[in-house]
Amino acid sequence: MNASATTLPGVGETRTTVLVEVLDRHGHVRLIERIQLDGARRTFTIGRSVDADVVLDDEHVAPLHARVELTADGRLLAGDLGTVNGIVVDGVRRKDGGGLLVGGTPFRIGRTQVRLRSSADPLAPEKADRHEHRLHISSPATLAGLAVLLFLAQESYTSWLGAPRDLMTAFASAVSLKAIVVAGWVAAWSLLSKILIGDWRWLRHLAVALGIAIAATAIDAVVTMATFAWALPSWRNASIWTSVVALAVALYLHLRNAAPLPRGRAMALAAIAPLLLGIGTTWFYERLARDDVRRIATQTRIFPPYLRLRPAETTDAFFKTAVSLRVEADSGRKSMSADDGDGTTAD
Amino acid sequence: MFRHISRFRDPSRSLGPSYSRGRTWRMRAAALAMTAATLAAGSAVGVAPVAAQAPTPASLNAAVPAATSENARDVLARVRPSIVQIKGFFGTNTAHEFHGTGFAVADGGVFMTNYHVVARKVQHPTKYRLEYRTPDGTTGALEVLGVDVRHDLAIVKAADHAPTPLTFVAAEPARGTRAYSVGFPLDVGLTITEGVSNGMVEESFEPRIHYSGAINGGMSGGPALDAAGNVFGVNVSHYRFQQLVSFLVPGRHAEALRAMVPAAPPLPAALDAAIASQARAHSASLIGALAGPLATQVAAGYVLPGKLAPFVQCNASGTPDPNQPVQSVRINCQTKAGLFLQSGLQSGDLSFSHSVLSTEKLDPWRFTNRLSWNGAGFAASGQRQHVGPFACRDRSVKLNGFDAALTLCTRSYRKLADLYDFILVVKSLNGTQRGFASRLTMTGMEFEPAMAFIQRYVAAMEWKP
Repeated sequence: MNASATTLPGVGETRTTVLVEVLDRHGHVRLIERIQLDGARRTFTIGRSVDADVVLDDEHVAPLHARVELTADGRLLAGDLGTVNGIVVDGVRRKDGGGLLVGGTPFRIGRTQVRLRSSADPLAPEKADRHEHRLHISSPATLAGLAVLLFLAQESYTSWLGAPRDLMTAFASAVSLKAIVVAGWVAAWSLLSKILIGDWRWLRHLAVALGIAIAATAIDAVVTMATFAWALPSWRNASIWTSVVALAVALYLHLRNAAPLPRGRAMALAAIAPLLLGIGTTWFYERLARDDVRRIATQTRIFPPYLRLRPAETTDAFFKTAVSLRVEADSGRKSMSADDGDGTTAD
Repeated sequence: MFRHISRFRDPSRSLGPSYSRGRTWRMRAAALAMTAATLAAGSAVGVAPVAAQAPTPASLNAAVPAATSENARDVLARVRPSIVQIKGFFGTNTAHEFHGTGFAVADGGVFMTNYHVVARKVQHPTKYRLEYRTPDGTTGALEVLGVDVRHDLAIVKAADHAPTPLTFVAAEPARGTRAYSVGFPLDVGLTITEGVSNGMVEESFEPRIHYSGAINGGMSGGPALDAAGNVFGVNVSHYRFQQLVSFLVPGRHAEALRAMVPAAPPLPAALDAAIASQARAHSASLIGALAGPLATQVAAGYVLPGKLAPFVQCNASGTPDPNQPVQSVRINCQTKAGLFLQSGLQSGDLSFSHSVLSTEKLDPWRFTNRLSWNGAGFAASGQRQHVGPFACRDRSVKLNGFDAALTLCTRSYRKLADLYDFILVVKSLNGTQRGFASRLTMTGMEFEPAMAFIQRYVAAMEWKP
């Protein structure tokens, strides 16, 4: 869409347009210079001097730094004009007087990234655009807005469930506290995005952070309710692992939005830290639990009776199986770590 | 430093939370850090001036020619040679760590004192040594001959000091009889206090005599005497921050222990075994005393265990404000039967509490959420050098007329063989506007009798709307 040629290059009286694109360090085009070449004029120069055809404001660029030539077969070749810094092509500093193939791929003059394009360069096919509605569900703004609404809804439900007399105060304090944490988290990721890809993307990070937090809370609630409904034994590390999975998913989405990382590498990065965190926390808790003689791990949450799906067992059955507690308590006592006091055990 | 001459009977230090806010039933002679500080301050500020201004006996007699003071002096003069201060030292320290009082009960230098006075020596025989100190200042070594943890008594023997034993009287003095208590309070020297014997304490699992007279830290193990100078009890404890509400172990238990002890000090292992077996016997008699159908009380339609025996002390309170969204009734019951075994370890105690909620204003979701957190009380006390971690079982169980979530946890003792602590939490699952959370705590029980009791306790619960 940027390059156009009125006739094929190199054939008779050709007129060709070459685009000189100056890129920033994230590869975004910051400046475009349009150079017209024809049979009479097949070269142009790049430099800091006003006499150069393309002027770069860069102190590491010579007054006349490079000459670019359009060959008869349509290739763009660059040559150094005897400068101190030369031309960096594919990461190699070259001081060749000519013949450096520079069409289509970025190269460096001084500290400036430059890309040359002509109509001979291949173009990627047109990308399909499926954004047909004005309010699209997957746009960052919509997602972020939705997440904020859900977050507020969840917080108001929690405050309501706690049934405090002063509902608004409880709600406001819970929301403001969490808002501060989320704001800090989102700001950190936005800053990373700005540094790595030159774009703040704060709406996307907000959507990811709130969305995952809401999902984790909802899953936790569903697990707690299911535990109650089917009278399942409570798994004391459940909330640790819900958090680990939530953190991994959130990290993956944040990373994909903040850094030009391929899918696989982002996944690996996002999985490793929470996994280590989860294993570490579980190990630490289990170790604490082994020696913690005051801890009662089970926490029975009660819900309305109509949520119960499994009939209760009889008292006799309960006490028949509870006999095994003796063995469990004895083995727990025996597996305690060596005592700092007078830890001689009874047996 | 005044430390550990005391008997801990603080419910807040027993397994489980203390709800005893209204009525303080703290029997101690003086020793938690706070008390020790208070008493130390008292000795520095209060006692010194008194000592400086203390009237001589002659001037006292001139001012108050009362026969009682002369009587106290006579009693003290009679028993003085038979009393010793008992001091405990850590390692080779020359400053003591704890101290109490003892009195001669048999020929050959056999003295009676409280178990809690010598508990550290019994628990760590190689780390501590005991010494006696006579009122004249003579000192010498002591060895523990025997203990009775159920009555907080111990017998010690001095190798080279054998004063005349004091004599016991067979029966407790009638309520209102003048009595005396002798000991070394707060390390300020041999002291006699005068008071009144008020008979046996009502509603107490272990027999105690109520003595209305001063007993302070350091007097533990000293004799309580009648006007003739005969022993009818042993100083053991008092209510902290109350006035002159003190307790004595009846003399018959001291006599019984004296009759049983060997002539030579037993091996430490034998003492440990004796303590474990006494603790087991105590818990067996506690559960035995709760045999038969359990007394109940009704709250918001739930029939729940109540005052199970005369020695079970209950108090109950409720929400007075009718505008509260949830109305609650709180019932706490305690036996206060726990034995002091060592600092931080009490065994053979039983207590329970019910928190019964009802609402006309909340929907089922909010009400059950409130019930979830109400009376959760899952924190337990205990020290890892004494007990292991809890093993728990939680299930929904069919009770009489309703279903409930039962959480039963137990942990075993490390040194005392075959003793366990139990916590049972019961939460009703049937109500949308009525519900309760109940917690039973039992410490230092044998497994099977305790489980049988817990089953009876749960079976006594009923929903009778």
